Amino acid sequence: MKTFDPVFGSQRVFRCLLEATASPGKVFALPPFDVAAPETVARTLLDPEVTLCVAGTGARETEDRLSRLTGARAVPPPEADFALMLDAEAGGLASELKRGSLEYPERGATVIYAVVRLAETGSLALRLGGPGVPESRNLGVEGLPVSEAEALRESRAGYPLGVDAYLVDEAGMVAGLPRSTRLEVISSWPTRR
Amino acid sequence: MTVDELLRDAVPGLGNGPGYNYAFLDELSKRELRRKTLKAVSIPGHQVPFGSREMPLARGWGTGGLQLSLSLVGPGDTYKAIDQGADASVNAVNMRSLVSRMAEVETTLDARDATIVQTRHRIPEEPLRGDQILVFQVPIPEPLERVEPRISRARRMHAERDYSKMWLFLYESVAKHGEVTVGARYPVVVNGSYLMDPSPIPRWDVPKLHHAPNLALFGAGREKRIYAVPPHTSVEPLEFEDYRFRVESFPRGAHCRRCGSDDTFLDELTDERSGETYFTCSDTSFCDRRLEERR
Repeated sequence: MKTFDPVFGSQRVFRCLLEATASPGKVFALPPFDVAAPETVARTLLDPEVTLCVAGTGARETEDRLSRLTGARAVPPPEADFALMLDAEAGGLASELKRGSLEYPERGATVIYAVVRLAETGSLALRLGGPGVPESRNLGVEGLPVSEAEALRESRAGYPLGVDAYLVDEAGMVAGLPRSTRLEVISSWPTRR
Repeated sequence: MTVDELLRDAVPGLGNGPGYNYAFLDELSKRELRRKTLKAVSIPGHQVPFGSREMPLARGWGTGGLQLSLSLVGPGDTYKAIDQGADASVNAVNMRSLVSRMAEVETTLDARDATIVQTRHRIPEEPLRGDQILVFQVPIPEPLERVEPRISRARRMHAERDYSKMWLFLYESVAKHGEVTVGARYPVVVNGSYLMDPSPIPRWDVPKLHHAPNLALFGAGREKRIYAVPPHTSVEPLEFEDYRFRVESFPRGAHCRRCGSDDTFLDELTDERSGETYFTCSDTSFCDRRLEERR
């Protein structure tokens, strides 16, 4: 598989993220590289100007690696510009992250969730609305706890304050949930273990 | 490859690279622009400050739009640049040559073939699609600049969505002149939330932003701000119930002298010999195509 290239690789990943942000809930395929898909997203956006926190199984190793590769400094969740949640084990992250201020809402954090699968249906079904969504759109997610989806929804109750999220699944598909997106949890079953 | 190696390659004489980075900007600058662009799309209409870089053209000549385009562009893109609707103006020609040389991409005059359309003060007549990105060059990103010169005060007003001064400005215009006299830079409300400057596009183009299928990005290089309108987002011009927003009207029978169109935005010109007034399409490549089709 192709090595992740910081010039052309990150350009393609960025365009994919831009499309995902512009059309929330629509599922896009990230270009495949020899790194886990959620990490290609992190390596596209991080550099020494921003801070990072990683949560979940193997968080420490991933955090060290991403810090070394990108120069982003590892910090506790409430200070992080970017957060990466490696698995559903680490819940409640969205409620800890920065939401920005009314004058500078863009200082709210960006969170990348590594999930199992994204599709039109899933054990967690979200109904989305808002900019970039004509009428409404459904997104099914496997591997994101309901509590986390609720925490994300709650984080943007004071829009324009909020946390912007990207869901990245094991097949390298990505969906954006920017803070302008209205989230509604329409159905949920206990997450598979 | 680490960030250090990346920088080494972009510095002349140090690495094996060509001495400049792909798409002119260094990777760290692009990364910052990209992060800010994603935030701008996430908060439609909100102006996100960014560290505008030194470009090989003077600030105020489209450096914001150019930096956005260079942070977007990659192999496989097709780039179009227009200046007041014209592909052949000096500004557009130079943008096109810079981007095609630095990013090795195809360029086009046909809006239908472009993946990125960079524009100064117009939206193409050809309706854009969802897979296209429209990049605006913005001279003054702050819509409140007309009523509030202090940036810190204007930022506060946006934070509080306090746009009463702008409403008053429009009201005074109606009271004095009997209508809203704002031409270009007509203030709009994005997503029912932020007041936004749509850049100096004519009023004619303002309705094209409302629920457009394409993403619109706005870059102000001198003022160091980026903002955005995602696709399918409401963009409403400020108007009163009894004084509605109107697009420009042309004299009865006005049509393009070249292609005969009477449904496009027209430039008014004067024939130097006869002194007579005539019109031509402002969007030159659209005009060329109509002319072609008529033959």
